[in-house]
Amino acid sequence: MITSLILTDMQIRFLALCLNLEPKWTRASGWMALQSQLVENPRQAKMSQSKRPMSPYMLGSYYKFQITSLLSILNRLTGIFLSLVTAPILLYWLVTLATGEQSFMAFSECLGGVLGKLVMAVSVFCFSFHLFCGIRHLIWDAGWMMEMPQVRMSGWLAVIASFVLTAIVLGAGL
Amino acid sequence: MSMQNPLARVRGHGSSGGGSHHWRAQRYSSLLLLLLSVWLLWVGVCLAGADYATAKATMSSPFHAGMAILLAGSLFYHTQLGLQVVIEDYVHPPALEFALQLIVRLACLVAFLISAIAALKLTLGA
Repeated sequence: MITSLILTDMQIRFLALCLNLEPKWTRASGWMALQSQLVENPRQAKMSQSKRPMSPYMLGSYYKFQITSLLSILNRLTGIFLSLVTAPILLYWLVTLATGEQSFMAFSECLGGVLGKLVMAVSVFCFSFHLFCGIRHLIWDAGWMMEMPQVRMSGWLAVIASFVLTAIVLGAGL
Repeated sequence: MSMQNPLARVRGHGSSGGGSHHWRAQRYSSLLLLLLSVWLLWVGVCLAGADYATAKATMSSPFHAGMAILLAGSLFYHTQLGLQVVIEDYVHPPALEFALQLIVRLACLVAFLISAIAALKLTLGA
């Protein structure tokens, strides 16, 4: 259906709000700062002459702080950490359990050390954070909570909830 | 020869050719993970710092072994889908991107198989 490919008014509004309609670099001072930076770089000096507005990175100093973009990138970073560190740890724990007592105790000692405890604490936080941000995404996918104040509120709620869950899990596991 | 109408074949699949399959798969696996997270937290807290006998006794029960296999399946599927998007977004040289996508898929499949075998070995006592 061609109609399903066209963004609805609601979706465009949401995207525009997420992408920040009023970035600092469109204001005079921010734009000048950006230009002077470009001129300092000889490779990009030619580009700045054309005075084409370029979109800086979302989390740079050109933009004011926004919970939306910060949580978006953190959700991705925690996902990468869970994929590359936490999931392999869980997998290896199960494998050592199936292998025998010697390897299991060796790995338990590893996890019980200072570095092991730190990695597990970060893992628990990443797990909680990714969990609550995921719930937030599922709520959006259902079409709920998409007004900007609600989006900000749910963002802070996810941050608080992930700290609380981390504290509970680490407290119970000690 | 397919008897399918050409329009029906392409309808809803967009420029990616895959339609919304990836998007839906990511959401469905996340829903499953949401439920399994409760189990993971419960078992994780119960078995944190546990000795071998306790951990083995717990994970040998068919229920926990089954949950472990279910978690491994949805977790490594979700991991593959997520890492795929990260690689698509940030790795631009075509050969490197292709190689990484292949490695991620293979690693996730192998990780699932290893965890399933380990859980089965625990519960079947082989």
